[in-house]
Amino acid sequence: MLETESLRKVYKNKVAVDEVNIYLKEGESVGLLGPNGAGKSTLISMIATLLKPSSGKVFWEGQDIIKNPHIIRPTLGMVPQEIALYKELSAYENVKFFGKIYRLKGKHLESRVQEVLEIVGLKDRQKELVKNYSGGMQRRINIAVALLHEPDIIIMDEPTVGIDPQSRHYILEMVKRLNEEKGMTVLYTSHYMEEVEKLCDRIYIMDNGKIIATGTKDELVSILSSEETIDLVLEESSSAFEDALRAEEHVLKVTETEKGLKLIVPKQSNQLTTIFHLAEKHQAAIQSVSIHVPSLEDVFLHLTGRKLRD
Amino acid sequence: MVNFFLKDIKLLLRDRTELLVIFLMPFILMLILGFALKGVLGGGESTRELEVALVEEDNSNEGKTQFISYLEEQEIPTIAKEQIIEASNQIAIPSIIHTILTKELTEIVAVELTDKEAADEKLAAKEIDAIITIPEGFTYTTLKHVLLQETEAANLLIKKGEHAVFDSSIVENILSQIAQSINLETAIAKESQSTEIRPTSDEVIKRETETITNGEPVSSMEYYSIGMAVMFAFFIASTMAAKSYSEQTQHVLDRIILSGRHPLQFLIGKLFAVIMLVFFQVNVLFVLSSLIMQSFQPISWQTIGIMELITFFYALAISAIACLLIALTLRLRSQAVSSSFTSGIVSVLALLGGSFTPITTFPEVIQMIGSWTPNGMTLRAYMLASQGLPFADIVPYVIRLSWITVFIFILSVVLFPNRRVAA
Repeated sequence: MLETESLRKVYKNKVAVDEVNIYLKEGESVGLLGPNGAGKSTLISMIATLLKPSSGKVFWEGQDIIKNPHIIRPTLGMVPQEIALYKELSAYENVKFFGKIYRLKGKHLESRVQEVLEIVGLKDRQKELVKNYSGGMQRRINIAVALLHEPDIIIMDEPTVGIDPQSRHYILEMVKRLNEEKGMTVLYTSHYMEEVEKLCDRIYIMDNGKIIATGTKDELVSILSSEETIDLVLEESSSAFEDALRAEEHVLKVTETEKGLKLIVPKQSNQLTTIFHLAEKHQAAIQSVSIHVPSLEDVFLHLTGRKLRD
Repeated sequence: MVNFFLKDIKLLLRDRTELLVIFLMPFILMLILGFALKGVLGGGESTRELEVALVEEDNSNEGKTQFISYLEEQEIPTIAKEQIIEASNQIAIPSIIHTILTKELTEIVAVELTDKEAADEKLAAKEIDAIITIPEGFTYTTLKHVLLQETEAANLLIKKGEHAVFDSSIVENILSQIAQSINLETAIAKESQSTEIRPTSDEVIKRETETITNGEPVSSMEYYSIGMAVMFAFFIASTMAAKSYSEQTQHVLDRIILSGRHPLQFLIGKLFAVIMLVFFQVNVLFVLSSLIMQSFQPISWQTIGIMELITFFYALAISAIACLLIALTLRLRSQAVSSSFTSGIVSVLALLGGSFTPITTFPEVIQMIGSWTPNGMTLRAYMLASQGLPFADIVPYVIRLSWITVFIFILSVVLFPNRRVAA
């Protein structure tokens, strides 16, 4: 349905997107996961025909949309990271204005306006000015506008940034319903691991402009199938202890966390004795230890050497 | 396109700060400048001189002889006739006018006594601002009016140069001084003849003021109503450009592009919104000025029609400027275009165009540049219209304005980033 071919965008000397190849099948929900500055927004702007690539192609139903953007535009719903609305207008006025520019008319326009306001749960407050809405409500209207013309594919650029957990949960449930019940193809970018885990059939992990891994959640986690993760909570950070752990042959990766250290070690390698021994030797007080199977977050950490929200 | 237009109007009407700047500020500034700079246009406190040629077409002696002949035919007692003739001999009307202009009003006017042809040549060459003519029969008519209370007051002809811009109050001032002097001289003459002093009319003389085309001189309030109207219309253009920048940075414009609408529709919507807002803004200012400050009064329906037509063409010009600012803003992805226009270019254009002070006080080069600014030529057109000139005299300004409008609009369409505004 949608496919990119060696897509690349260079700003002056900085490569924002580097030879990216991704594809989406009809009805699929695909996540694009990466930290801030990974190049996600640039990539989806090119896919949405809002930004011209330095090189590469984007195909929609087999047709090159870089040359002919009008092929995809009528079937595309775009939810930008910014609140792309007129804040001095009410939610109703905003949705209706965009409906009109999508050439919806008369009763059909009015019914679509009410339908999308219903979908985002703001039908009762549609007459209020957008500027008086909470951040979460503004984001819901931002999504409503993208749904007006019943697009085949919706591209969402971090649609839950900076909102309360309740609104976030509402938006995630809404996107899931659109994908599962209406069969809408979804390309969802986020740096929240749990969102992508919950919503997406397949995931692309992006860092420094490149796709560094792809697959279903299980396939990605299987990258670390022979390892396990140990989280150590320390009373105080200890560089001597950390260095000693790094020097250990069976400790594959050591990363600092907010309260201590995260270690990736071979499964069932019984490293705990060694860890406690080194802690005692370097006078590092361990408050707690937890061992778990790797998550997508751990996979990202493993692949990039940094956390998603660094 | 209508949707874009309605949206822009709605957004502006909900922006109270912008509304105040666009609709209230010009009125406030007009009041301040109108009162504070009244002298610049020839008010009593000004040190600026009005260059005037005095043309005497009246023969005072002939007028007196004619008056005496007329008096002889009247059925009034001989003694009264003798007293009136003696009084008329003491009143030297052209001399009174000459003295007033050359000795008592020297701070306001500089007078040169000359003949009609020379005066007309000087007026055409813009060497003088006006010609005051004492017409033939002035003495005769004035004597009949002041001594016999017969006939209407005589007309003193004031011909104002098309280039000259001065307050109508200066003319009133001159006429008032002349009238007072004639009254005083008449009273003294009558007193010396022991005749009963009858109340004399304030309107010893009447004026017949004209520009080259019989127009009324503009008042300072009228001048600054026009000056502020043409200046503040620019702010509508920069406001629209600033709003376009917000639409771009907040990715609203992306949505519009993705809808499949041609980006030019976005531009054209703004163009129509600017036309309407400028038209409304200028009319609000003129109506307020007219109602509160009694500017533009009396005014004929024909003049109103011509002024509305000028407003329409000026609104078109401002909308083209708005399009250019929007095109540059979106192309450069920078608010610097609209902000520099607001903070600097508008002031320069306003100064060159004569919004702050008449450009006749500037060097000729500046005057020439000013006359080519859209606001400068519009101000000139309004001035001529408010002086009652027919539309034919204003057409050259409108045509020049239209050419500039077309040029700016074409330039803005060329510069407008069409395919991917966000790219």
